[in-house]
Amino acid sequence: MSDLAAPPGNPAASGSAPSRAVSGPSRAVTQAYARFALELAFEDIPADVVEIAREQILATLGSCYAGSKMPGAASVAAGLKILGTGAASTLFGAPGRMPAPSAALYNSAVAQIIEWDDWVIISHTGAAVVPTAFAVGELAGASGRDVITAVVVGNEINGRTSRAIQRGAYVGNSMPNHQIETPLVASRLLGLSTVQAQRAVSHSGFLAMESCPIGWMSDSKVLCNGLPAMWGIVAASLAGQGLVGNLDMIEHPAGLLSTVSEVVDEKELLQGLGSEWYTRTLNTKRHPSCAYNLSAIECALALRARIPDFDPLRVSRLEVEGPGVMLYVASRFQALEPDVYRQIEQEAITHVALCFDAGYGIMAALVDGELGHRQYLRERILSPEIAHLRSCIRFRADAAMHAAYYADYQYGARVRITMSDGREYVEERRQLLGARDRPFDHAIKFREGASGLLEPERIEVAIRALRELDRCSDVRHVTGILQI
Amino acid sequence: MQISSTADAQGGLLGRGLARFARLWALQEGRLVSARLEGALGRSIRCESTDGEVVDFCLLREKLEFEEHGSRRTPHASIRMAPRDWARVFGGELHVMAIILAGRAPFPKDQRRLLMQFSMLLQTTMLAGGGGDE
Repeated sequence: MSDLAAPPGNPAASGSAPSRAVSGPSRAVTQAYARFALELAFEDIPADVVEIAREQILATLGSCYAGSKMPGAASVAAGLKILGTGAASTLFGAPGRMPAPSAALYNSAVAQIIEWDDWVIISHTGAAVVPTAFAVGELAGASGRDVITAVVVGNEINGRTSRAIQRGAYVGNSMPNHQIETPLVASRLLGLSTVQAQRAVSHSGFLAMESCPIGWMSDSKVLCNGLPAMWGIVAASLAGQGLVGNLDMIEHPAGLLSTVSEVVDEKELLQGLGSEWYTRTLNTKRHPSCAYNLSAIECALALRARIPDFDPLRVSRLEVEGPGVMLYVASRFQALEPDVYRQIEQEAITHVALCFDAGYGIMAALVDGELGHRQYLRERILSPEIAHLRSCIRFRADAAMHAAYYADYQYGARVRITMSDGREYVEERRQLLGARDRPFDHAIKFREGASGLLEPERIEVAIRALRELDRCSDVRHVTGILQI
Repeated sequence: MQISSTADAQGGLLGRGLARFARLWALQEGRLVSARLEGALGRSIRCESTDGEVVDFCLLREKLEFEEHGSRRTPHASIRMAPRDWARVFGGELHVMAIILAGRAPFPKDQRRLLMQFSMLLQTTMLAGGGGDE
């Protein structure tokens, strides 16, 4: 376990150990990851982990569909045509098909354009791993089991690399580690050899992709998983065609991890690989926003539902308490001049900045009684109701919630509303809905995302098909249902 | 010209703000420092205001250790902001990274880890309060 206090009773470690454990010196991390990625058999994965991965796929595709309704999604689909046309892989939420790398980028972009993606341990995975596995799976005519196994591979590797660099300059859940798992996911589905897969990681990671912090206030942010997804596939293809790369790009002192992080805890990289399933730590989101905001948003939705005749214009005080990290994320873009709302109005930045703003998610939830893609459209962002609530909101750190987050990944929040007539209401959540210890039905999310894009009957068919993905001999049979 | 400030109630904006931070930080007794954030400990930090005030200190788990300006080697990180931005940071409304992201403070590559970790610890401390009616 890492220096970050591990949750007691780490859910990753529960259940029976599979037969194929990987061990070895940390110096051979790239090789060990390549072997794990290529040799892991579906039958070696515990049933509950398979179930989590299937649900992860369902939830991620729901995010894709919802994200495809944002204005930036059309730009991504149109802009990617410069990379060529082809019919290999499905776009989730846009018509037509594209070459696998382009489809992976599109699907990854829309999976996170309203920040509705999941994470394992402390690193977002689904928006990188699922689009990569589906795009290459379709290209290769892989079975549903192959795709599920590839998703698990991606989660397991991503979780470990994130723990290895968590003490670097990354205080949240965005990690520059996707250039490792995406080429390995692609390598598995393309049938590469171990050495080829190692080389794929080298090609993928050579130009280390760190995001520039200011990009997190514009649609550029959708590339943080999208580029590694696309490039991971290209890198695997290059390696498969014989392009020689380094064999130790992950662990080398001058390799990828040491390039992107000031601190690399090498012992984390192979910890429990193949025996402790980090996929069990998967957290999904019931609503689109940065994870740190979700409990507060749920509080706001509950308050909206229980306050009689609620009128956002009659709120006189809105107080939010939570862990320091929530407040850190929430105020990240609050010093802009002109302010974030004015810059969105001017199209200098986009709604993406507000995906990390706890205050906005809370306010939009209070105004509409829901938080989905519509709340990230300009009409709501620039509305008078939001403008009024902005003048009422205050934040306060809760030291106990702060400690609980770092001790056990508890994402707590408390929201207190005072109405103009003096009535006061409070809601509190100790953990976000969608956390490993507080799940919800991902079919709800899929339906919300796919609504308006797929016929209601086809949505239900798709949900069943995705929940039975391991019975599918060719993933293209399922993606045919998913195409709009 | 730089003016070295004392971190107390008689100091300038920086001195007063950091003196308050020091009091609130001590009250937390290290509870806000997770392993993931402890990279900020034991590092010398220089806070500068564009009006010339400068305060150097080292953040330890249970206290701030103020240093006489110029008494030690180059600090591990320097934060230089306008007084109005410092005021919002000490009020807890904003963190240092927000000012950086607004383009009003430098963000040198070699100082980023410390700046991000300290930024979160400073804001969390100021918002966690515990100092009575301060």
